[in-house]
Amino acid sequence: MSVSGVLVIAMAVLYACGIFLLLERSMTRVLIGFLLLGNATNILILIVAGRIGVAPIVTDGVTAAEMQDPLPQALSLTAIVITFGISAFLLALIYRSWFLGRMDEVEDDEEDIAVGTRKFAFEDEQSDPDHAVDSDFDPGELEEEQLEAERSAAHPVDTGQTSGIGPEIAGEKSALIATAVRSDPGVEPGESAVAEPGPGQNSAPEPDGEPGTGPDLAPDAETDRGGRR
Amino acid sequence: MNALVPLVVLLPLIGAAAALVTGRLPRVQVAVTVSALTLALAVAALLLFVVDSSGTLVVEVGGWAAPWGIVLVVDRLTALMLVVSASVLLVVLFYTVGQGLADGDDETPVSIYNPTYLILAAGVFNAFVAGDLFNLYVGFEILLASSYVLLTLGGTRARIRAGITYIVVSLLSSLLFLASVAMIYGATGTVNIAQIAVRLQEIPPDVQLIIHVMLLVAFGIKAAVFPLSFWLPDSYPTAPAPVTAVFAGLLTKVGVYAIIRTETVLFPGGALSNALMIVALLTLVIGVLGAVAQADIKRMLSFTLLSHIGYMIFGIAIATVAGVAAAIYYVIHHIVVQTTLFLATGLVERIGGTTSINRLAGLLKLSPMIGVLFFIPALNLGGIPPFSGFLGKLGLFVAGAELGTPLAYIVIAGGALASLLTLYAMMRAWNVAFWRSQEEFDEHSSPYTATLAEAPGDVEQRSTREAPRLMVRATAAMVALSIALTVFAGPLFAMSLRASEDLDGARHYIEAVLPGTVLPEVNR
Repeated sequence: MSVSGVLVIAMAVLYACGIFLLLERSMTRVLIGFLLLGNATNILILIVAGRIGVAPIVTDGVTAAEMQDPLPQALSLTAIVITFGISAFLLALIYRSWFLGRMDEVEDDEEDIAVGTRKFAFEDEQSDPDHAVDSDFDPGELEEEQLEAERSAAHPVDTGQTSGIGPEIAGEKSALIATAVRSDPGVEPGESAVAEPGPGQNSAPEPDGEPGTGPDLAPDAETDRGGRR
Repeated sequence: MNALVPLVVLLPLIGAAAALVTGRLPRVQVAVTVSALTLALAVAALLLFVVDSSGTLVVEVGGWAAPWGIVLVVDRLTALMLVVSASVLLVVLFYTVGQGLADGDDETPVSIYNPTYLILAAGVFNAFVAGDLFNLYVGFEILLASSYVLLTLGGTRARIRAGITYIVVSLLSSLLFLASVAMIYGATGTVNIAQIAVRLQEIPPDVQLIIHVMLLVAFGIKAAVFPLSFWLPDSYPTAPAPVTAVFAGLLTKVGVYAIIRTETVLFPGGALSNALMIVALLTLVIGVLGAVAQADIKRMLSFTLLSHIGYMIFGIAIATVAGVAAAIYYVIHHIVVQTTLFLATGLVERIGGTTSINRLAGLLKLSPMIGVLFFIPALNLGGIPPFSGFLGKLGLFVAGAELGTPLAYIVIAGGALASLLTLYAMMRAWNVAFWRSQEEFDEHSSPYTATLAEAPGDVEQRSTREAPRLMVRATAAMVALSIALTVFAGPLFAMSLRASEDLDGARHYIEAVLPGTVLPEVNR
């Protein structure tokens, strides 16, 4: 069975890009990733059909040996239709999510965050010296830290550690809180930096017409989460 | 008799079309939906009778002969699954109707609900009768597509969030399945399950292993087997109660069914049995530990659902006739009892306004009937004799002990632990929500329940003094069905045993689909 090398390479590239996009937080990218994976799988089906032949229509002078195997084409047609339908549904769902929450991102699982930040998780972050060091520059980050400190002051769950401590220490602690929160993979500010590249894909539904501005988004998400906790 | 086989898929599909057309007339639509499912159940019951008395039915759709055309195969396992799932679907439909009548159809768009529900039924049935892998894939897609709609019904924020997780994970598993179908076609040149089973033996073992693992991962995601199960407790509890009940009862079991077929027909050698044993053990223990940590009854039930998938995988991993028979019996038991529990929890939510055990109290006084309807399946799930849960676990443990490997004994210990912890979680819910009096609730708070995980974004529902009568009756019918599984455990277990004997070594299946095939004796 001889196989077209171009097809194999195309399939591999599509799979790689698809998996990469599927792991993104932005749901539009997840959708595109899914489309790429679907196409990659369809190409895989075509690859397993084997060598390329003539159309499988019974006419004079064409033997079965020269024909292309028609079954994989039928299979991939069905798969294309199914993928198409499901992506339309997913797109509707993404639109609905954007409509409800102005978010094009997979929302945080509140329970996961509750489990991750409950009791000891915070102390672990605190005792880690690395986080304290890389937070001390960049005025923008300082501003964010204050924001975080204010925010954590507003919510009893987050302030459990800072209450009852003098203002100076509290400030230092709040910096730690800020880093602790930022280093949490489930929280926006760190995320927005990662989500920056690829201006072309960002044109899809983005909240407030300000693509990728993490700090703008973060307060909403943060208070929302805190409020429900 | 062969004409009956496509009917079981066609009836719900035709019913769905009719229900869609009659969307403006709710009563007619309900009548259409109920009659379509009732007929499907009747056909399934007839199929079970015919198949059990005169052997496997094979239908060549469109008259194309077996390896080339699409075949539908109904053996004892398929027929059993058809009957159980059809009856569960029918009872849950009555429950939904009761709920819709009570709510005045304001919140749930019933005109969409009923057709989608029927298409879900068609997808489930199609997956059961499929005789070739691609048809199985199509069956999965049908049931998944309608499950996406049912899960996100109403489009609230919580459901959209849960729905997206669920859909992306399901899509990934579907693509993986499709890719493995492609690989199998590349290796064997066919998608007919029986012919694949014959030709796979001529393939080098390493290629076999790749295909085997790919299929198991794809089905494992659908069946929510441990490392691939985290989507389930995240997404199921947000759906409406009857939807969660059907999903919990049926959808994961379709995955388990596919794993049974993979392990018995396609790869009968048990090449990955030890890996499956370990996976079963982890599923059992980790799932039940999740259940113990939950305050919300729906979430707790979702975790016990995960955990108990481990029992079925254990039965399949034992790979003896007795082991697979016990797994089949356990699948049937679990479909019924898990659905019943979710339905009862739906009733609890209606009279209590919440499903969190931290905020429930005095339900037994409020409604003794619902108390009983929750208590019986709770004991059943926990494996208290003489209920079917106990019998199923006993069957599995006996089969495991007969196998006698150290690993099997470890999984048996894990299974016993999971059973006890399930009982603990269920009885805690019972004691706190039903047994505790309202006064006790007002003045007392326990540090043990306060640390339990609540459902995210949990909102108090409006509660009614009494649950709608039809909903209670439907739940009572499910409880009766679960008791029937106990009373008729003898004949049912005997039938599971016959179904398992059919599956043993795949010979029966292959000969039914491709008569006259010469099977090499070596690997069997």
